Amino acid sequence: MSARKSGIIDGFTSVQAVKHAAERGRARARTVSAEPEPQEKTAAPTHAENPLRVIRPGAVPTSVPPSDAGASGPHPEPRTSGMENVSGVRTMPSRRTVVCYVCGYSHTVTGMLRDPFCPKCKSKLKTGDVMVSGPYSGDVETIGDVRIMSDARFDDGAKITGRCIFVSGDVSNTGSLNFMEKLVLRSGCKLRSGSLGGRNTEVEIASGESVVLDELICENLLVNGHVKSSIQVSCSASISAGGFLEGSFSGPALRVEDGAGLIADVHIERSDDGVENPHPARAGSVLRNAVRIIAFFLALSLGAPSLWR
Amino acid sequence: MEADKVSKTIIGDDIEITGSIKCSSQIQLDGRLVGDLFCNGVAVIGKSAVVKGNITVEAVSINGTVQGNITAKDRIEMKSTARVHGDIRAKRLTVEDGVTFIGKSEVNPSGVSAEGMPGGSPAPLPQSAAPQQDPQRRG
Repeated sequence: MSARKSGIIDGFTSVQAVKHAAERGRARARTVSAEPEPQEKTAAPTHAENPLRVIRPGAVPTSVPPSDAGASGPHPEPRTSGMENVSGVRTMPSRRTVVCYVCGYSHTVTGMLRDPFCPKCKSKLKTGDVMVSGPYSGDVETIGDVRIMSDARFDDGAKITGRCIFVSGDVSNTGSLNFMEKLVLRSGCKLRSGSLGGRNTEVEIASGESVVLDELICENLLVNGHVKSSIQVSCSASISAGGFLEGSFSGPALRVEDGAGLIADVHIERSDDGVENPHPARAGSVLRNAVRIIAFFLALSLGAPSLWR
Repeated sequence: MEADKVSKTIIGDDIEITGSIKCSSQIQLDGRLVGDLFCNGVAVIGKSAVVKGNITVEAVSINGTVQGNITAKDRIEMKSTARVHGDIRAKRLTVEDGVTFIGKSEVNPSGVSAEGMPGGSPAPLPQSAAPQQDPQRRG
């Protein structure tokens, strides 16, 4: 039997090393004191010691008192070793929703986006963030964020598509502004409300910014800054404590926090107010169709298909 | 000792009042009022309350129905069951999700005076945070 050579990592040694690291981590957590161990944070892991150990930044192994660790039994289950730091907390990769700007298919991506292709239509998607400053010709399409600076200029009818779009410039001549997650308006922005498209989830007036628009029609609105416009929302709006809304507002729901300003003609009314039994005739038609279906199957079983008319 | 106690008037949900109500302390209205309400304290409009008239208070919390203008020196709170048809004017405003509100709003946290009655000419709202000048001091 050849002796194990140090510095060589194969499948067996890597699995053994990760297993030993997990056991060592649990043992160290049982005997750790209240004082943090700076060596744990700054020392880089070596392959000989712990090849797959993950050090969480700023981790302080004080969460597990030594008296409780032994009595309560094993620590969080070591399902896959190597993903646990000293304190036993597992770090999970982030998740994000990706919406294809070609077919509109929405899917969830965990961790880093490796495959820039839409799983449904197989279109190759642009993933990077885009910042537009100055004249720009053509469309902007990406599943990342789009930042439109104050001096940006687009061609007439240009399409702008992104996950979150931050607008500080003039996009009133664009064909469409499709945002899959959020549209953030900043001071000096100009846009045409009819051009908003995409999933159109939320429009936000950034904190500390002052936005003046003729009209703003959206699904959800979050006012953190100052907005003066004729606003229509189809779902809900919220004015935070530092927000200020001027002009007019119409929608089914509005939430105003203490400290917010509201100088506007307001019309907040749910669509179901005063509407009772909107389709009373449908019950009768469903019953008639059910009777017809039953009569049809009875006729089939009896061998007389003309009876169902 | 009695001055420290804040008296509170409660109008039950089976009470219907036609006329004005004036009070200096707190009032909780759960019934029906056809007329104006003047209160120097905090007014609570209950869930079953219906007010057809103007409300002029220090602060008000609305859970029921108000058909009229509301003027508050300090705060207006609209709870989720509130239904307000009229103009409101206050220094601070809180609106919960589910409120029905149709009217004009003049809420400026930087400062507004409740001197102007909703029916007359309202006092101009300051655009900035500068304090309002006393008209007697001008000139």
